[in-house]
Amino acid sequence: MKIKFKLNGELKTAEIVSYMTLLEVLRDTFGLTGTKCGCGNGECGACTVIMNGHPVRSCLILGVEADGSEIFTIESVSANGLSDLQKAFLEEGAVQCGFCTPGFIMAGEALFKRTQNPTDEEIKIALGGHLCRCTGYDAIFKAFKKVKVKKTL
Amino acid sequence: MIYPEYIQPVSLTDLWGKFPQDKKIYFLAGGTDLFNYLRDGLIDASSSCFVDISLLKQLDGITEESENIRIGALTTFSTISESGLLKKYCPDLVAAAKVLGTPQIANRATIGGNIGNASPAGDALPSLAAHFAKAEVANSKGSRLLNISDVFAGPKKTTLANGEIITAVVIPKIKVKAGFTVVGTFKKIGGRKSHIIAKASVAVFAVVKNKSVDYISVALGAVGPKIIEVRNISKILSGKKVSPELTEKCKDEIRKIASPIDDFRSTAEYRQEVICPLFEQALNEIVKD
Repeated sequence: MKIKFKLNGELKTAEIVSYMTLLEVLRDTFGLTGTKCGCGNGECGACTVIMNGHPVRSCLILGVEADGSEIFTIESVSANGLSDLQKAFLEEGAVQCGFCTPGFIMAGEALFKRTQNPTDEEIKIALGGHLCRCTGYDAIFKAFKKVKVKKTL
Repeated sequence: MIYPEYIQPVSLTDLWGKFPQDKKIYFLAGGTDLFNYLRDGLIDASSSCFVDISLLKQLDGITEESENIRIGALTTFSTISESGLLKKYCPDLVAAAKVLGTPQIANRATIGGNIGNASPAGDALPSLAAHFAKAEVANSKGSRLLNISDVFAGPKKTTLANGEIITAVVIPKIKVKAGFTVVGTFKKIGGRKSHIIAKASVAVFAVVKNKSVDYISVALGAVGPKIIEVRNISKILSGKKVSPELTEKCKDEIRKIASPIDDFRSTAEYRQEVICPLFEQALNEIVKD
């Protein structure tokens, strides 16, 4: 089936089979391997991308459903250098193996796009859908808080 | 791996013409349950067809009618959690939508899917049962309204025929006496704080003035093969003021009617133990001086 959609700001088309997930389309068809497959069943959040302005799990969406939509992946975030959130992750040591990081960053970018000044509760809700097995969540939470402080100065 | 056939109708009329014969039909909306069933081998791919209904935009959205609130089957839980109309009439459903899955899941998961999946642990279902909501079910010949409790045949089983689709859920609007307000909440318990599938859950919906109750309706999730409405609670509390004694009577009713089982998520014993405090927590949150 043919799909046409906006990927990281550029109009793209692809010929794909109906059962490919959006995650597979992004990684295998377009070579955007920043988006990770952690669990493949919607539990871990590593495959998070922004679809029509909202964070979604690309492992639970068919590629054909992306037809006509606008999608942003982790590759778009650092197109012009690291984002504030990415810098904060480095400063706070919120990355160890890095596998979960693209998902956390995409959830964060969506959160900060929605509100410049999220409450602790809003940050926790945004982080809630993601699993990290290395750093624990404290450093990640601190990185989010750091961006918050910067953005409201 | 074998994959099911896939079709993507562009309208409801288009839908009926496109069904393949002799295949089990699975409607694909948010996909947050369906893909896991496929991966876990719970769907026989070779004899199944996924009908992607995401293009049927007329099934998306919340509208106010004179007697009812109508929620289209494709309405996501993110939309439900932000709806002013539902905050006014169904605060318990809004509370359930806010704790369903994670933001990413709630951005995709739909109310029609939550009903069609027919899990006793479905987060929207206790609330819909407490409101005596009706599901609008359509087939090629027309549509009918079904009491929400009559949609469920058992865990993960509905009474719908193959190829019948849930198009909307219709919630009757409650009449509110002067001076009284609509309150409601949803509580669930699970293994962590986020992304929980309930081990036990409860929706409480009421019309109150401080601790005086004009109307109350309570339904339980994940403590029986289907959602359980605890009708006797309205007999105990309607027209009365909530007191510790009456709350104990309500809890006795819950203990009598809950019939939980052991499964991979929890034990019958734990569920039976935890459902009463869960109800009490919900009641105390919404009924207070």
